[in-house]
Amino acid sequence: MTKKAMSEVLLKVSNLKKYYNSGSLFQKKKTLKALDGVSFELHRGETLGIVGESGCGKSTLAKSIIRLIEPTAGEIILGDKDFRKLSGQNLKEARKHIKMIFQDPYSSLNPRMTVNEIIGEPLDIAKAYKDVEERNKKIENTMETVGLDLSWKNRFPHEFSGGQRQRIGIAKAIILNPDIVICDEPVSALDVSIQAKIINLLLRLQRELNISYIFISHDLSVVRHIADRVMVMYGGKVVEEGITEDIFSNPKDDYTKTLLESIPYII
Amino acid sequence: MSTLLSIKNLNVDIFSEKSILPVINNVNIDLKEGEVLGIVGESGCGKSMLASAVMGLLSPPAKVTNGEILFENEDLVKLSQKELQNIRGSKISMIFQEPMTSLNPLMKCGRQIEEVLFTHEKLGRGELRKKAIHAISEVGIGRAVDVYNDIPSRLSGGMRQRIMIAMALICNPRLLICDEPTTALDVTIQAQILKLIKEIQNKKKTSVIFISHDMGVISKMADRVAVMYAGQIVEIAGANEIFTNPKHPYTIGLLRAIPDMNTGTKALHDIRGSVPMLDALPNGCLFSPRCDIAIKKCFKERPKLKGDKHCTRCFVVNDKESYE
Repeated sequence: MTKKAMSEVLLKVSNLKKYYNSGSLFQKKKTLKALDGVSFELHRGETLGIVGESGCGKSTLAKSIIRLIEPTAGEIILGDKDFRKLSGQNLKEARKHIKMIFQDPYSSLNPRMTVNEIIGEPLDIAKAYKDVEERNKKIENTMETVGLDLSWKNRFPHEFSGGQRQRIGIAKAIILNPDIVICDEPVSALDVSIQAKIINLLLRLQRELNISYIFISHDLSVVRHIADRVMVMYGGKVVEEGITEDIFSNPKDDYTKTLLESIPYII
Repeated sequence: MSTLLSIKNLNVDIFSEKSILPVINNVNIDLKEGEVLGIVGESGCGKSMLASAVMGLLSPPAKVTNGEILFENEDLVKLSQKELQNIRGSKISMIFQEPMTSLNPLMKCGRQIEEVLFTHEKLGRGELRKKAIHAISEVGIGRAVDVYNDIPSRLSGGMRQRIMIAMALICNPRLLICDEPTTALDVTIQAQILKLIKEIQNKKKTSVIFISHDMGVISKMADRVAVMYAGQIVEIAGANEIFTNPKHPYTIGLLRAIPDMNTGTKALHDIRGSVPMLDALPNGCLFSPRCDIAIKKCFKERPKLKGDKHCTRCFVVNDKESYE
């Protein structure tokens, strides 16, 4: 753990804010603070777990980091670049290093694209190959890495089970060898036995490729299993952050305590 | 305690154009009065189909093809829809998974509760309102009159599930079926709702069939647990027994696949292979292709559910026990 704490900082988020204005024309304007000053650092090869209830801003944070949602204020330093100031080709270049895995493998894959096209799409966007042969080779290697059969290349997403679809999502995320993968509830839609397979796969990929994960989940036992450090969010703010074992065995914040007490343990 | 519900040799098949899919395959369950039976299993194992069968909510192409569902010594399978309607909501009721979609979005919560009551007891406006408000306050909602007048979209997920519970309990049913009632809720809200169901169950001595995929939730709620796999019950035993001394290889695998809060081991146990498709079930034991302890016999014959209090559907486990 201490080793990881000393290693290189890949991502530094400081005071990130995302406000939404609501209220129609004739109503008083209200501001909804979805993210209210979130700061953290992510080191190489570590997993940062983010937990909290629905509406606490976990997913907004994930999307703001890769700028799927434009944050209102704050700083995102990715490597040595200020990620929020990038645009055009520079943004595309920077996004090669940070990828995302989504929650719902049923709706996050384009139903009209074959597996080959889905996994190859990031390569096309980043123009990360010289010829078709190299592209195919990369796709095949990645499919093998995540445990997809090569004969499935020309199938469509609907032909796969939830676990297999999530593997396609993972293949798509890791094909450009990113430094950081943001996993937004990657196993929530899956059954326990499939969940175990996907978690094992994520852990193996981390060992082999030295990826850092930001792992968002509402399932605390999954987070405890996979994360090195945990951040607890409530109402757009970070209420507690620390090494996983410390948070789980000795929570300081009242909200964290309530959250931990609510987990239904097996006997 | 007497038996309230007794499911005998139940088979439910789905008739598709090409084939007949056995979604529930020879299920036997006895539920005593005041007992909570947990049913656990992965998606597609037939948990919800079983609940629908008991409620008489199966719609074509799904159909009960064999067996009986005895509720208070009456076979629910043989009843007409009209007779079922008298039982549904009054003697047997159900709480569904999605509180967001199972309530009518255009109707005030109070009116929806009254609707259930009015179907079974012809009461006057004032009386209905009084009972509905009482039911709302009974499920732990403080400002019952306000909520009575609210439409569901103004309530949070937890509140909506409370309304569903109030609706299910308004006629004091003897059997309550909960189909994943807390799956869509946050952990803290889940804890509250589970506590509420448990309290009401204790107070009213209602029998409950509690369906969930979450072993933790089941262990909190159930007295007895049935584990389902591909339409069959593979193991059934007391809750304590099944979690401390699981016997069927599938149950053992499932329990080991859950990230354990106490162990530090990183790789989780995974059950190899995947759940069989219903149109391509293996010849022998349904779990045999994924089983680590399968013997020759397992690939040829289907084992039966055997045992006294702790029943297991496995040749290897049962042979070992009879040998001992």
